Amino acid sequence: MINLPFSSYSKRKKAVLLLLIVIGIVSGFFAFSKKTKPDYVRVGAYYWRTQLEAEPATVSWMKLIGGERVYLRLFDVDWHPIHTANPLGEIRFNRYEESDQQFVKTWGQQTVPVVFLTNRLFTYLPLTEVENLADKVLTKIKQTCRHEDWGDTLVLFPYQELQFDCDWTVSTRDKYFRFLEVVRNKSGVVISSTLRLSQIRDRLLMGVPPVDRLMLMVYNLEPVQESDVENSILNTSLMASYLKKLKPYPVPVDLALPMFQWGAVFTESRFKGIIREPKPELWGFAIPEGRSGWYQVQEDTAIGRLFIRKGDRIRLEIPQLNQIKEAVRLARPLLSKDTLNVAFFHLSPACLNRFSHDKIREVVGLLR
Amino acid sequence: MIRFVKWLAFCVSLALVFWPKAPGEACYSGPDPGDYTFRFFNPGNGSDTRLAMFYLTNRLFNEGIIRYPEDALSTPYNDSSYRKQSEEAGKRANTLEWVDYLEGKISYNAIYDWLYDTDPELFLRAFGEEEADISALYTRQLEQKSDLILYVRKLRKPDLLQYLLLSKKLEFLDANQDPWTGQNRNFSALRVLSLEVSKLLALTRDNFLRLRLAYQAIRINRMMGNFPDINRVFDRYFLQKAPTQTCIYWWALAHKAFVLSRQPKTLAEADLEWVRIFLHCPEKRPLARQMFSGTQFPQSLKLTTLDQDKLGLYLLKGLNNVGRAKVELANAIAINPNSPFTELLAIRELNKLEDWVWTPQLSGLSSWVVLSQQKDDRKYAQELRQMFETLGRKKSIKRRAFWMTISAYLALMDGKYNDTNALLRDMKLDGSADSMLVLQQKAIGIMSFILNRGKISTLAEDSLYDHFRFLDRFSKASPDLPPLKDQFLLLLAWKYQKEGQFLESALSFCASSYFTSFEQDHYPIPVTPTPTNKLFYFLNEKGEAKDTDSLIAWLDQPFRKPWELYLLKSFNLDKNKLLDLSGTQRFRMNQPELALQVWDLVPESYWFDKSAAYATFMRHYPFCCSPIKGPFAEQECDTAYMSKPQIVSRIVEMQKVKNLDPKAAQYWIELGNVWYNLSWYGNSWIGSNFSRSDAEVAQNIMRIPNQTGYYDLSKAKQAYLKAYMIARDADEKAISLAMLARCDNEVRYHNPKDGFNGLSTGQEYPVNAHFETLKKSYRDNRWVNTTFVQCSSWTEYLKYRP
Repeated sequence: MINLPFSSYSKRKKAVLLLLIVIGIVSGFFAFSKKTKPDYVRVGAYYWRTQLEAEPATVSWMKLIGGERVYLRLFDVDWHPIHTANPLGEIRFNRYEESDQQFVKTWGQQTVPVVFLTNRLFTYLPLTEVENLADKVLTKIKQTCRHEDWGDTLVLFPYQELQFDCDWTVSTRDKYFRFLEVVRNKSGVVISSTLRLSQIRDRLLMGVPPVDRLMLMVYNLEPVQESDVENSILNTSLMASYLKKLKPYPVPVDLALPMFQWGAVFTESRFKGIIREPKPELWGFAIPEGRSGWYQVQEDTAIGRLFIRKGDRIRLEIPQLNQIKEAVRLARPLLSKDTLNVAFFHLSPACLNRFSHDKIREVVGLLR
Repeated sequence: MIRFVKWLAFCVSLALVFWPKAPGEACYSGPDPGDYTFRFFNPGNGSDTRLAMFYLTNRLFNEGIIRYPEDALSTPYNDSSYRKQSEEAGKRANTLEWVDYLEGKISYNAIYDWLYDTDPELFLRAFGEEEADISALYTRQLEQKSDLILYVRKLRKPDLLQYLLLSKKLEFLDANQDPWTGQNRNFSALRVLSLEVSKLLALTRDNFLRLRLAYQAIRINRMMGNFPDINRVFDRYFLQKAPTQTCIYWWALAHKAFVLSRQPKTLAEADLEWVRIFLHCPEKRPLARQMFSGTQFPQSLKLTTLDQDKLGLYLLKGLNNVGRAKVELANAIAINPNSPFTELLAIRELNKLEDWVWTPQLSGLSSWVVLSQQKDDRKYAQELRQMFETLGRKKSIKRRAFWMTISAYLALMDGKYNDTNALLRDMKLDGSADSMLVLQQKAIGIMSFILNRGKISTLAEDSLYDHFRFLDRFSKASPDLPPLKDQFLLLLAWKYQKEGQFLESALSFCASSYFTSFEQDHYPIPVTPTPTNKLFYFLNEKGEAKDTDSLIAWLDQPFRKPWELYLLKSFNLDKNKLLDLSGTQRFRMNQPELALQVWDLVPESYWFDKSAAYATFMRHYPFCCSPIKGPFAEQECDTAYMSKPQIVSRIVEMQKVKNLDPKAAQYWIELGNVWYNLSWYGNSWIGSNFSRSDAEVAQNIMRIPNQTGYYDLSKAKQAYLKAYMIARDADEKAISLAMLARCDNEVRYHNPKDGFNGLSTGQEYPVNAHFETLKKSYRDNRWVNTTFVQCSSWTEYLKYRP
């Protein structure tokens, strides 16, 4: 009778099975014990004004929320039919202006320069000119972040990171990504880009920007020009639908949250304009409608350059604290687990009045 | 063989280096083109060529050879107004081609407005790649601006619209800096635009648009500094393809010529191209003339076999030659004596001679100055005259009258008046002159009549009257032509002045409308320049009392000859005003009694008549002056109204006072005050100048006659010193010293050695002696402290002056 090695085969098989089970248990342990909170949360805020100013209240607010970063908009770049790329709204430092000095003294070291590039720019700019644009933008950033006066060079913002804000689309993706590549290669600092929820949802179509970090903006999900939109700034149910069944993103993702508010003015259902930083408590010309957030204009008035007629309607859009918290909960799975940057948009007295430091700390606490 | 050729080339280049140059060219260091200061018939700034050239340039204007005065005067192209004129001519030419292209469906004005007056940014926003709603907004704006926009939209020619967009983009880029760097050129945008042009060039089949697109491509390359591409584009699209009668061809060629001019090895070729541009493209003539270098002239000549090109080469070389261009002129004549360009060169040469010969003689009111250079120039005028006369007597020459006329003018310049007259007589027999040349001959004849005599006699005045009546008739019949009469009045004035006939000279000068511009470098008139005002000013500045008296006597004559009436008819002369002037002139000459006698003839009412300007002190009492406040010191005196005779009478009276008179010192102080007030420091005109206000005096101080006491205060100081000597009262002595100190203090501004700018050495005024005396002797006097302030600054000034 042949002594088949059956028994030894069976033992080996068992051993292998056992090993597989052990591996499964161990990997399962690691898999299920995946980090849910980042190692470090760095809090910051966007500064989106054209004048540099560090008001005592703002400085104090930043300290109280433990703010470490200021994302400073340096300039915008838009398409010009002749100039092609055209820099606009540049921040200018005046060394003789006390508020400018104060800003640099307070936040100069922790500033991340931000440049806003319109999608229209990449629509019309030829691909061959993108590299040239990157050079120009980098040069201008360097120029803006230092101040030269009578032979003195003063470094205002010794940045280690640059951020670019662009609402790119499928048609402009290649040019924008090429721009980011060039900037990343030539700048020698961390490059980050803003990311809209639609861009993260349609990742296959929209691609992944070639940057070191991304800043997920969870606001402005819907067009403000539409009259049937409830709140164009923050809509958590829509946000939830965007973030359903999403795979982890291959680039570390930070989070930008809204603190701003505005009023969208409509004549019948036609969009007329935006009232920035509205103060409805002072609106003697309009009364609230039954429907939440809408106001009916009772007499002609003008706010800024906007002429508002009797009969117009204003949709007041204010993100609520619970909405922001919900947004954080929804976005959390996607966010970076090492160091997470959280930035609030944006540093202005009106926004700070609405969101006290306690509220912000509550929001940040959800991430820690 | 090659070595031989190289050797030959070396020898030729050596020969060229050492080849003797024409003497006029080698040594002449005259004014640059356009810098001439004087032209006989165009005193002032040379703004009217027809004046500068008489009527000789009539043919050149008619045939479009010259369009602007500056064309013939060789004004530099960088002269802004000239450049603007040329550019405007280019715009007009281009617009006309567009009108043809659009088959007259769009008006000239609408196209011009579209091409040159439509803001590129607005245009682009209306038709460009903006969002639809914004575009609609701007389109509405444009449609309101021009009907043409509607037409373009209906035309359905996408390449035309594209071209217009593109040209507007380039216009914008040409006028705006790079927003990123602040540099003049936005190279990135230019590159993008260059791609657009290439695409459109490949697409369009419309030859008119193709040429314009190619031209825009050339412009872009020029702006980007891609010079080789300019020639490439030109050769591909224009060379032997574009019709040469279009302006766009010559504009493109100008860019090519510019590129060729940058390289020494292609300079000869470039010059030839500039010549062609000059000959065929009127609006680019100034540029061509400026860009033509002429440094490789022989090589340029070898490059062409065409007579027209050769003539053009000689023409540009001659026009740009600031010295004598006889050689070029002779060559041009040899090639084609009937060409209008040859006439242009001859006129340019004539113009140079006008400057060299006439200017030293006729500029200002100076006496006849014969410079050593002028002898040579007159000899040159003779040479040219011979050349032109020979030409003018040839039957084969079409425009014999032109050459004979300029010969006559050269003879006139040379002072050969009989020759001039003989030539003019010969021309009458020839009959080849057109109406303008006949007028020119008449003008030369009148000039010869004026210059060909000594003092203008009574007999000659009748002929003069006839001549000027002719000129008047001509001016009335030809209001669009320059006023020849005014020019001849200038010449006549100069002639009168040269012969010592001051009054006639003054009348002629002031009757001429050119007086102001002629004299403005030296004597700007601070009053409204009517002939009467000018005459009073002229008599006051340059004349004497006897001249004014002569004029008064002339006016008093019961019978006046026609010529006198003719001269006087421009003036509205008031006898009282002339008497006022005559007395003023006498007072200035230290003849106050005589002045009073003259003024006695003037009725009392005249002095207080408002129309008699400055005849009366209206606010200030002239006998008052303060060491503290200086002239007039109106706050310390009563307001006074004193006429000139009243002031002078009082001066005369006070000067007669005996030294022992108890009021003598006070009088002399007042006399000092009046002289102080009548000086420059008192800003008074009454005794020294006529028809001036304070401000005018202050602005034109250099022009005020330098008379005794006016700047140096010597008369005032003399009076104060006398007051100090005879005064018995301490306060009177002190105030005399204080005023003397103030005078010293004032005159620090007027040291002849300093030329009004401060003292040149430290030795002139070591101390203010009068102030020192005042301090020592009248320590407690009230004037010491106040005067100290004045003199302290004076001391400081001495201490720190350079």
